[in-house]
Amino acid sequence: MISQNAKRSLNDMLERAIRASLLASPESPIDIEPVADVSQFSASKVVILSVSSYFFRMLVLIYFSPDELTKAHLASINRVDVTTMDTQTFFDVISECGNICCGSVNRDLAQVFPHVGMSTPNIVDKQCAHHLDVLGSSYQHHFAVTIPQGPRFHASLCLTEFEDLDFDIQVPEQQSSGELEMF
Amino acid sequence: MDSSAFIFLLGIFLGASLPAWFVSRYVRRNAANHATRAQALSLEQSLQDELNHLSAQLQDCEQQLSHARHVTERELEQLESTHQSALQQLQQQYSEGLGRAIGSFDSVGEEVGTLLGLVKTFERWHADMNVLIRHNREMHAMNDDFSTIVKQMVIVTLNASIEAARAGEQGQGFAVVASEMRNLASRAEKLSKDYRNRLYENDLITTTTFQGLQAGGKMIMGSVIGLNVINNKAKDALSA
Amino acid sequence: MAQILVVDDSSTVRNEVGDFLKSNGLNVAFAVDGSDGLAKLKADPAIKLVVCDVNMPNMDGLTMAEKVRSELKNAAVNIIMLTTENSPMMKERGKAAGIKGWIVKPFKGDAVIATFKKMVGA
Repeated sequence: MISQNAKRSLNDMLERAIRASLLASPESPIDIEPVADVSQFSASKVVILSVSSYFFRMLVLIYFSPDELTKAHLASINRVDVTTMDTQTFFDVISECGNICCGSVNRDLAQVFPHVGMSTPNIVDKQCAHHLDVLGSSYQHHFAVTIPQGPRFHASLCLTEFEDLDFDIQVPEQQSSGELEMF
Repeated sequence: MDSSAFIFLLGIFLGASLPAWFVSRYVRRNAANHATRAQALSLEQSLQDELNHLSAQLQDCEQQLSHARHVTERELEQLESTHQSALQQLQQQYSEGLGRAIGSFDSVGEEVGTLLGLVKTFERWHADMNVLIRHNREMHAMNDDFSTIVKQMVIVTLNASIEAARAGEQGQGFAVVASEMRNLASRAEKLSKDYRNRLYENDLITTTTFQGLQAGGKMIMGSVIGLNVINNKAKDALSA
Repeated sequence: MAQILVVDDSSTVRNEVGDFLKSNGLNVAFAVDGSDGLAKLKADPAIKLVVCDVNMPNMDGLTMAEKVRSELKNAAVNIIMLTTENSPMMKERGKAAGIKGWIVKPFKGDAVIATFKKMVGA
């Protein structure tokens, strides 16, 4: 069983992660709204990542279309030359965005679960996401992500718990990403 | 007998000796005037006896004191020896214990080092997953080819039905065959669609299963690394 | 001769970090995983700074850092991890391997360029 606190924490974590990975800076304008299911998504591809713990397994999915608007936006936030961006480079860029997104979720989860591991990203056809129910997840939450004058993404979170989950993860006061911590 | 008693007796002896000497001299000097020589001699003898007795007592005290000192010294020596022996034993036990603890840390370190080799297993699984994903992609491509062929079949059977209708009565047999072919093509098309959905489902299950293995592997490696760090810290602390 | 080696299995990260460093006048070499990173460092001992991901196939970044010290006997090169990970245990392992710093992705060049230049003596 997953408590309401835990569900709220997970949703907040994913929203923060989306801001960290799909925008030039977390403060840039973005609209993130919950949606009911994936069937309405128009995207053709999805990047999937997994997070594993002894207590749960979680999937993070970001849906996208390899269109010009998406390419231009991702090229700009990753400082890549869009004119030389071929399909493989584009997939590398979106995979890295997925990696940063899932990495943010992974770090937040590590506040409560000291032993968590994260996979590398994989890109599959969006049609695969229609079969999410076959994975037996007990909690799914989907978002529509709209960037003003930019592309539209969708995101999903699917969680299968092995033990009852009840946690409340606090938003860190200061985002430390990008800063060099010297030893 | 202790030293204070000895000093007391010595004091008594000296205290008795000095007046005794003075008395003796007085008596001898005044023997001719006051008492007979025999009386003086007798007095002297008494004093001498007293002196001898006190001297004997003093000697006795000295002997007792010496004996007590020897006994105490022996007891002290024995105590020191026992203490040294106990200390050596404790140090030896501590060294052996420390050696065993460091040995245990080394053993744990070796096991952890072996476990860290698990990363190669996880990488192999990751490589296997890439092979499977490539295989799935090929199956998609084959199904797409099949689907194209089926679509063409549907068109061909439709054309065949049209031609059969144009041929009129003579085309009736052909029309039946064309119709059957169209049904088969239609079923093949449905099968191809179902198969495509199954392939997408398969992609999802394959990808998420292997990602679960990969993430689970990282989680295990994280725990093992954590154990290694703690083990090394404990070993360094003990060896310091 | 390269001053900085960027090690990451993502071409996006290699290009982003590499382009930024080059635009700041630095010479950059690249490697795609820990094993490749070790080989590149062995071939070019003049490299003064390694910017390295943690999660990579064919040898992760922390194992690479350990081997730089133990197998290449290179105690001088500065190693900084650039990763999505932030686990205290990983950082402990990194410190034990003599790494100098840790950056959580995404990379923000302006925040680190001064320190990087100091490390390579530029």
